[in-house]
Amino acid sequence: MNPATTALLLIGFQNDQFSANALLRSAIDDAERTDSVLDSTLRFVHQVSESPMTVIVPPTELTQRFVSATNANGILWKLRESGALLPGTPGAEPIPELQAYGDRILTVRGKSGFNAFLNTSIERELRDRNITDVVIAGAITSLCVDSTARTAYELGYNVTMLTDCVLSGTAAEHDLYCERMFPLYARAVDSRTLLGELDSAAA
Amino acid sequence: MNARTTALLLVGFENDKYAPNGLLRRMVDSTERIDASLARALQFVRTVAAIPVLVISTPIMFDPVDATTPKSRGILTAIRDMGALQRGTWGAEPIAELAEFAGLITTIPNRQGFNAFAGTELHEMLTTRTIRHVVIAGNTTGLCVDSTGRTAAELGYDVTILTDCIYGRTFVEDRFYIDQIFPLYANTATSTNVLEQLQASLGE
Repeated sequence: MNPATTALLLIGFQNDQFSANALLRSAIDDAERTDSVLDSTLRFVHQVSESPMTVIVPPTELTQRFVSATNANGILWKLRESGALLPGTPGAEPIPELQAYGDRILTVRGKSGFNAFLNTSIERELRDRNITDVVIAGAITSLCVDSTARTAYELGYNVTMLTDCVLSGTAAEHDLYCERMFPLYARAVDSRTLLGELDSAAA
Repeated sequence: MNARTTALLLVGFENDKYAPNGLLRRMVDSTERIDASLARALQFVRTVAAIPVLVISTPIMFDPVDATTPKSRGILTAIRDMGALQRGTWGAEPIAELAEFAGLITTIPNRQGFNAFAGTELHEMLTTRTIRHVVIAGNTTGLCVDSTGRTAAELGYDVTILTDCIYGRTFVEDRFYIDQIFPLYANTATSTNVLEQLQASLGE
């Protein structure tokens, strides 16, 4: 993997999911998992920020127009009704730890559902940068992470899933995706292993 | 659910998936689940033939590999390398059981991946026919059914997954998606239940 042709997609790293009193922390059955995913991801971002790797943050904003068009029994409605990820609110903003990177991270707006490629310019941003490899971290494993990763795969990118940097609601969900689903279309590997590979490739 | 604005999507009803000597049957832990889901799906198609539901087949088939073929690895490449679902081969043909419904089924060609909306005219077809509700049968549960179902939901359709007309690679996959994943964006129902809803809508 060449960092110059690799993009890291950071999915759902927003205050409503990851900050200390986040609304959506209750959707995760083990509170420590959120902190652990955040720590691993921030360590990874810190390391790759010194490489040429493209880093993209597509925050989810549950616009009324989009959510109203989806299944009224579905999770997007429930999230919106709970007040989470509403456009223009602090909860929908990327977490401060990522905002601190300023222009080093490209923020792409428009994601209002599961799939970060839908209604956004991500596909064009990847093409403009001659990206061949996509690395994915974020929340939630079975929803936005999976939808986005599959689309990247179907578009022809080599996809790598960071198993310690994806946030699942339950351990069962985590194991099913990391062990059975992700390997069908991606490489599933923990962030330390990938960092080691990037370091040795650069040496 | 109104029958007149409902489409049944048949996802992946090709010989390589369902026929006794289909190349992909061995990727599934129990062929009984394949056969049982097929019997229910065919029964459903037979009954909706009598009511005004749009029936669409979205077969997956691979073109010969050329310079434009995505190079990413994974199960689609593995399937292609096995020689399964190749355009022009028996394995990529619709199963023989669908032949009797040829006049009923509209085929949307050119699906090359999990998602039946990607690179096809499915959304345009559904829009043109003023479809609001999409009902899904086929395979496999965690891949094409899920990718197609959640894209339909994100495009604004009401989605219903026919729990007895789909199959996944394992029983565990089927249970997990039906119990945990599909309810996040779709309705789940048996074909019997959906048929009752469709028939009831015609009486209104």
